[in-house]
Amino acid sequence: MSGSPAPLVSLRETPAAADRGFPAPAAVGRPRRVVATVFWNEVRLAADSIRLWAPAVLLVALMVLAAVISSARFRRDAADQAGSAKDYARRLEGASLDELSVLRYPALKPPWRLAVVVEGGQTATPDTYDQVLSALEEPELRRAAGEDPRLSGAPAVDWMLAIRVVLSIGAFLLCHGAMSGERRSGRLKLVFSLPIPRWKILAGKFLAAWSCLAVPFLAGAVASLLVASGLGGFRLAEEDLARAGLGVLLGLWAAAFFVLLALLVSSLTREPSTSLGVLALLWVAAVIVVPALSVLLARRLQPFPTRAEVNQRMAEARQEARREIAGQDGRWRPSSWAAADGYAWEKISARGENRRSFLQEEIRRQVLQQKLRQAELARTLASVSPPSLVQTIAERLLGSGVERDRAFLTQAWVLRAAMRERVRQLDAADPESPHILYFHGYMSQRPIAPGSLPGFAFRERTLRKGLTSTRPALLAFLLETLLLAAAALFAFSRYDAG
Amino acid sequence: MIEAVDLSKRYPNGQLALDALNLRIAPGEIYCLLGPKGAGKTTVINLFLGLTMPTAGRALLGGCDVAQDPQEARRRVAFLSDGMTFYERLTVRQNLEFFARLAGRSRAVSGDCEMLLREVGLPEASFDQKLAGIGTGALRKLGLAVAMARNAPAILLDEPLSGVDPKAAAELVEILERLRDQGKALLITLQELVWVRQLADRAGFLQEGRQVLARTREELRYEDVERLYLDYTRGGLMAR
Repeated sequence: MSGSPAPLVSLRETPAAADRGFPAPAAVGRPRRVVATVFWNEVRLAADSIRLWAPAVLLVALMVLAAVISSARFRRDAADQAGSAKDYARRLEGASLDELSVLRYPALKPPWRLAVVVEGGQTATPDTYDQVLSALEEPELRRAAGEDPRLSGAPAVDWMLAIRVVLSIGAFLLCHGAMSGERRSGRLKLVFSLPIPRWKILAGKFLAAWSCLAVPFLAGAVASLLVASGLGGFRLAEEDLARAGLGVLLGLWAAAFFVLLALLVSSLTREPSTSLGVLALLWVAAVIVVPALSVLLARRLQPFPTRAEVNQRMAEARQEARREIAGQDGRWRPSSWAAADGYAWEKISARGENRRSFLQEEIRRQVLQQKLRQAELARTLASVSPPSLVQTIAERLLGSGVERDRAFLTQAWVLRAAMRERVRQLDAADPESPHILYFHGYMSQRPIAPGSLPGFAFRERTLRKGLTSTRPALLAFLLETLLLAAAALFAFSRYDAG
Repeated sequence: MIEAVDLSKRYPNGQLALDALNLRIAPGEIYCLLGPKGAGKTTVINLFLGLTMPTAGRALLGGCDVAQDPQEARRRVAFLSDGMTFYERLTVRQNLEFFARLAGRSRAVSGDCEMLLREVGLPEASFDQKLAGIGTGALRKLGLAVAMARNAPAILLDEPLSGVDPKAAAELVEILERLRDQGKALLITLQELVWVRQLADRAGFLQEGRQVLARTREELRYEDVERLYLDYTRGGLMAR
């Protein structure tokens, strides 16, 4: 059957009565390129509307602001960490093995280069782990920057914030009246009277709204990456760019999700105002209520001990260590005296202190792990809300968030073990050392070559590992998106044009 | 041919919106469906557009059962409603082009648009005007141009003269008559009785979903249509 439309005949050229008849269906044009027609019409309408320009400008501005903030923080953190590393190197110079036992050696978590994409708490969580070999000193986990604790600084501003807040609102503003508004105006009835499958109308509207959001998002992404690397004073490596590319894809995916949600709600309501109200409620629930509740729930479900409880456990560990050496600890004599009896008392004391230190360090590790688990649980619970799920995916995919903190602690503890082993080897090589590890005054007095000690170089998680750990969250989001698309299609196919 | 065979519609809440309507509108004929609000006129239109399904009977467009194959049936019909507003941010021409493209006139439209707008009596100065400042009469003419762009053999018009000033209404009536002369079958729901005598080849009165009266052009010429309408809408008379 031919789809070409019959030529229009002017009413003033009315055909003869004999020619009048009901034309065959073939003479009537079959609509073609419906999706493209709806798409361009929607784009034209949106381009002429503040509903597009307001969120678009805000989106780009927020993404560039994220770049300015993250690059400023990157420079500050990099400078502070360089100071810490320099200070350690200076103190290490000319130090003996014995002096090294009380020297704090830092493990530094480098500033997160892609904080502009997903900050993941990286500018707030500790980035310096000062450890020490001596059992008499406690390790310290802190931020390198000695900031005023009363000034917590600006909240994290990154692409994810732009996605969660601006992109979602932009999608809702653009699409809340996509169906209900058309219905109210009576246009939908006209459109439904045409021989067009409804899915094509939905597809055209979806693609138009998505493109209207995707273009400013892409522009914002490019601008913010340029600003971040320019102001931050670093070059984005290929892998960084690949990660940023994944962030862009995730943003585009999230935009599609929000548009589908708005189209679904619009297809379930009869008035644009009702549709906007429902979407506003959903937004508040997803962006504000669920994340806040998930934190409260995580605190309840995955608590970690209070400071008093930790102190109590530390005291118990001390008691346990003392019991093991029958209370003979605390006897330290000058090396010249102790050498006479082969450091008999000091060896017992060292054993006790090392045992206590080991037990207490275990407690510290457990508490830190519990804190990480609590944060992870909060993130998992919040993932009930799609915007938070997007945040979770971004953090895991790119290697930020809790997983980066966990990796940092794990690698810092590996450094501690490597340092202890290396120092033990160096001390064992000195026959004049009392070999009481790791106590100042009872170890080798030989100077150490800084290059002979293990250093710390934080290993970021690879992209492949990121993809592997994100798979369940990605599948969940994919499922949500497909369900939403199916629901929107179903609702629109049954929508009453009035 | 627009044809209803025992066409009935009962809504899920039990309300009988249309009760066994029978009508045949031949090419080159205008059928006016009269009745008060809620009489079932819009339901008839919706049934012919396939926007709602009949609970009994059939709605046929050129022999095609709308309920059986709504998409095929829609290829044979154009539609205009009084409650329709077009895109205010677009010009008259852009609105027409959009709906004409949707209707399948992707190639012919650019050449035909101006002709159609002239046909419906819109001044050329208004072609590139945005709709925000255009009156109801002009909007209705645009609607008619959109319907004409479909070049469909059947045209359904739901209250096309409602809210239109007398001059614009007279122009619209003239266009509708020309469409009839072009061989289109027109089903028009009306409340403006003043135009019925001029426009209708035949007319039917709907009352609570039932067709209570049918008149030909000849019969209408000698009857007081207003009197008849008022009598039936008051429910004082039985079907004759």
